[in-house]
Amino acid sequence: MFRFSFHRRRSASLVTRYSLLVGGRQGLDQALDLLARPDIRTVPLAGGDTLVGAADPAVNAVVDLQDLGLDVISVASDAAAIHIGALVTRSALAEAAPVRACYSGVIAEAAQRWGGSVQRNRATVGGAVATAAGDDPLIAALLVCDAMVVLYDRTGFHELPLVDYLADRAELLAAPALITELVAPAPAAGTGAALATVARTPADAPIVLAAAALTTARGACVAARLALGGVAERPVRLPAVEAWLVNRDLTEETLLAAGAMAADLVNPTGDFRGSAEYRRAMAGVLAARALRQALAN
Amino acid sequence: MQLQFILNGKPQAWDVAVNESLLDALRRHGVFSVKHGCETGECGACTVLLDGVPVISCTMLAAQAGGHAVVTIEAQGEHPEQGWRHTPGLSALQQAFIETGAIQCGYCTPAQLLAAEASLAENPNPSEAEVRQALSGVLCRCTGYVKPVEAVLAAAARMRGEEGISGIRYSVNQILHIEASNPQSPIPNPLEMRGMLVGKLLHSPIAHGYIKRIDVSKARALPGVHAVLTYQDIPRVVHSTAGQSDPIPGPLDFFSLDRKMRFVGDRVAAVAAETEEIAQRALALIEVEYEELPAILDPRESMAPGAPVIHDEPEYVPFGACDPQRNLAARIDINLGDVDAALAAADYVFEGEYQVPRVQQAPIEPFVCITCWDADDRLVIRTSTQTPFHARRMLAPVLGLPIKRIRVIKPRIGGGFGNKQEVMLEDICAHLTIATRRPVKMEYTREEQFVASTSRHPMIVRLRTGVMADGRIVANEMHVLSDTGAYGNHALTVTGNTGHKAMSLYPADKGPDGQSNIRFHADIVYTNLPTSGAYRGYGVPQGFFPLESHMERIARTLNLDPLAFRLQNVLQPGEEHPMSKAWSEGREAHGEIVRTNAIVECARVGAEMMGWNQRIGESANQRMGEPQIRSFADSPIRRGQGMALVMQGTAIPNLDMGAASIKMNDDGSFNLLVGATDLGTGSDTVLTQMAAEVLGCPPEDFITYSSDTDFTPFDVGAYASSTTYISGAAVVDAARVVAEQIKQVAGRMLDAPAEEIMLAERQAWAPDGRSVTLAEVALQSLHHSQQQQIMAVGSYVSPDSPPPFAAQFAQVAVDTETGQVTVEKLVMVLDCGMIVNPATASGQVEGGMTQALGYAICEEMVFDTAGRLVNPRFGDYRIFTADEMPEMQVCFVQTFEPTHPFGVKAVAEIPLNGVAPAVANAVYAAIGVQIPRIPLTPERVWRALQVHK
Repeated sequence: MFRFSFHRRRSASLVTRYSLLVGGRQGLDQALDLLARPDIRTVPLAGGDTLVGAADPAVNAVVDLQDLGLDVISVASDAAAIHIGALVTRSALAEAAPVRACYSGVIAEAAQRWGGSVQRNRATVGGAVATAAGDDPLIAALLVCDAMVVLYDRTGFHELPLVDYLADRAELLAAPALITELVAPAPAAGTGAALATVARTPADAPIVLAAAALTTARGACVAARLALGGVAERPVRLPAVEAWLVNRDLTEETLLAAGAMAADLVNPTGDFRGSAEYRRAMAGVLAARALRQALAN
Repeated sequence: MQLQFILNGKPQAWDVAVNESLLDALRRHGVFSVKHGCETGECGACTVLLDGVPVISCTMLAAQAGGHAVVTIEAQGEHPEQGWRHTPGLSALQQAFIETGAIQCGYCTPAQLLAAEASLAENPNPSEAEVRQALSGVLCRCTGYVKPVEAVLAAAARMRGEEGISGIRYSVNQILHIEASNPQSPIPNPLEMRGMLVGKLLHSPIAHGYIKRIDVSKARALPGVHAVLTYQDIPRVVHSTAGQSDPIPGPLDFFSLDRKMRFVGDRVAAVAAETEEIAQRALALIEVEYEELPAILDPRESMAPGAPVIHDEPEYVPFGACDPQRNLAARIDINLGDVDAALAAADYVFEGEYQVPRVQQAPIEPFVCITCWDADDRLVIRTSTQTPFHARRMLAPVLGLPIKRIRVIKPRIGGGFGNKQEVMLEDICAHLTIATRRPVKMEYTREEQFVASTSRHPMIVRLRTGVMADGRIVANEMHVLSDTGAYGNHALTVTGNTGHKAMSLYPADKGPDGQSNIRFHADIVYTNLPTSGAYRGYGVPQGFFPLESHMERIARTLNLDPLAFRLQNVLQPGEEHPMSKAWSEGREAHGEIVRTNAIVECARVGAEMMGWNQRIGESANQRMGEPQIRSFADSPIRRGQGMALVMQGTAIPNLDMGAASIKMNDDGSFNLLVGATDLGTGSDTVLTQMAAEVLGCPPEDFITYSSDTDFTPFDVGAYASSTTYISGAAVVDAARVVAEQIKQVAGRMLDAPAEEIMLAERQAWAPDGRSVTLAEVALQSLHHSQQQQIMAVGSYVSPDSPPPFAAQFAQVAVDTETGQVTVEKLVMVLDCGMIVNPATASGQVEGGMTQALGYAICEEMVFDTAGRLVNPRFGDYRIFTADEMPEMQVCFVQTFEPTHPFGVKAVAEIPLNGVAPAVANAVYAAIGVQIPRIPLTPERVWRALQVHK
């Protein structure tokens, strides 16, 4: 809805309480207590870039998650999964050596492909996952890396696939629950990944994007993962295309056929940056392109 | 709550509201270097360092800074001489920004400096790409990023002790620019006044209709609210918002507040309250019931029979051929020669329709205005305006005050680009001050800036051109449908310029009788969309995209070399400006001879810089026998080069007037007072340089003060590329009189004839080599003998508007699968007369080309079916960032324009004209398909490719 009651300075109703947490699980529990209040609509605050910028008047209070130790990227060993704290910023993610080294650097590239350089210094991975914007390349990249989301709720920590989280995102977060971490499992040997986008300008938010990860052995596809952005409210994975690719020779014809399947499977709505028809066509072009590049990587 | 943090190295304990942004808290505590450009973090003007990392402060709560260290530009450096207190001076970065000319309006400069500082702290030897990445979070609308990037690289080199390889090439007047890098300097915002209220507007949610019922009682009852104004509360004075000379060349059709709503965003009511928050709450308490009318959202429907009438008010004052009953705000008909006969005799007649979008000037500083009564009961208006004197004259009847009781001050402002050639907030802010007797400040949000200010007129342009088989153009006809939006400000003059400038480049006089056969017809119509207005280029970019696209198509169809075809037909030096006798912004026209025109040389130099004769693109691909578009197995990327020739004007002849005064001080320094309005272009610097040149002293000996209706002489303001030419001539005029006065005094001191005295190196020299300093002359004149104030006023109006000319080249890469166009290189070679300051002149061209690049590729205001703007924020409305810019090269072919004492012509607007057609022509060359509509969005290009598959 188009509004003109846009407040540059936040209205009094936006935030009525401000809570700083002291860290650790105790801090997480305190945060959940605040989020659970029935009479005050409270939301977690990470970098603030999206939340404060949106100035949603329905939000009564925020809980600042800084100082909970959620801003750490850790890898147990070279072959292990990468643990990305929810408050890791996009710029930190884009620059982290282990992130750049795995999945052909697609997570780092995708983290970079959003907003301006100054915004990325505050915008967090957790914020991106909580928002799950349909055209956010980071979500698509995490999807094709089979990333897991770690949620913390009253019953403790839960790890679930990002794709499942996206399906039930609103209910899961309303529990209430906090996103504490993303886990990118170590890629299987022979895995290459890639991101393909179309945008009005080179650094603009993509209109449509595709992320792909392919694991191959002797020219045949062992595993395939494909995600699209800009074609639905949230980035989507395309398991049907992925299953179809497995055990096939990854010829140009195969990749083009996979792209065509992808285009058939999505049902985008158009907006001023691209019509439904264009987005569907680009889903096919970019899916094939991401797969082709993933194969080359 | 209390916020404890470190600000610029000092511990602070501030009381902040829990919902207060860090930006607001900083500004509330007097840290004004942190600028407001948007509310969504996308412009980056509010950047601060948080623990050494650049972050956005408008989307960060102040409370989140608790326990952290915040650094603003105040900590980076300051003028080295603070009276007896000496400081280390400016930082290496600040110094480099000054020396390279990286500062234009200065509004985004603090953010750029902080982003650069953090980047260099991490990486003292960055590549250009890394610097561009570091600056990419801060939007700059002035510079095109060329000089800021160069400044950071130069500063980095200097900080590494590699002074000798720094990239500094320019000599810029440093003293004047120190002001721009001073965090306290830009915009009226830093001003705080006791009892100052915040003004806010309630905007219309409907595109067309009446206020059926409005109840402001709850808003008025809200504690802290001092005034709520509707159309029922203030006099109904019809006027125009266009900042133009008297009489306004357009209809008077606007009221400060009205019962009728004419677009989504029109004014419903205004509130003044003690805080912005209270003002916002008051707006929400205003109850309005609307009676909606059918709306016109497509200019093609404006004049249709039975269309709703947008301006049916009885007070409407028409101008010229306007007809509000038919929604016609203005109409232009110009006929030169016999177009019909020439078309009939032509070997070929080419017809085409082209479309250009509504785009926003998008200065990073939104409109801001402060009004108050002074001690003498005069209304003082501090405002981000390009036309302070016009604003004063135009506001007088609206406010019910004589002109002499209004003072308009233009402080340093954060860019305008024509947007601020409009009386936009001043009237309503003043009404609130009159209603409350209190100072009132109003500042637009970014969304308001998009919706409730002005934008470039969108146009649908039809061209019909008669050409002989050998390429001679014998007739040219342009038919324009221009959308002025809800009000008719600038309606006539913008579109008049479309024809006057674009249609003059090719005189269409290559028929047997040698006469120009040109027809220009324009209907400028009202719609229920936001108001169009002035935007740098002033109608001319809208003309040149169609014209130069059309020329490309003709050349290619006739198998003529596109450049040679243009040069065969282009306006020549010594010829009469074809349209000059027919049109002069709605006033009496006089013929003008084009005395200087180096367009042929511009084209030659540009072609060489671009490698034009070895160009890539369609013809080269075809020569190599390749198919038009290669199959998927090859790269889907196709490259092409394109070009366009363009011209502009220099001020409005016989109308634009500027004046200056120069006063000598005891120490031989001078006060230079100019009415001219530096809106961030560096015109204060250029005007000072001119005075300094005449008076034989360096520019730093001048205290330049501009644009204050109480103190400075009159000037029409910053528009029509007039300042260097018109105001500059006035400055030279004043300086020459002052020089004569100095020579008289010095002659007496040196016992030499005054006419033989020379001024140079801060001294007056006798022919025999003896000299006295200007300080000695000043003391002699003010204190010692035959005392008099050395002082003079100069003013200037020109009968000529000498056109600058330019050749624009572009190279693009087109992704034929997605339609995405990436511009790889832009080259512009210009004849702008003599160049006074290479840094400011090339900065104007780089910044202008960048705005024009947005026009070509990505910028467009898009509306839904209810007339609501769907992209009223940066990001959705994309403007280019530092990390995605093409390579840009600028070159001047200098000519000495004899109508000006320094030989100058205009430079500010012409860079807007050529990029879109050159890029479109490059795309045409790359893919063999011409797309007659900008911006060349991926989908638009993709669709064109689908049709031609």
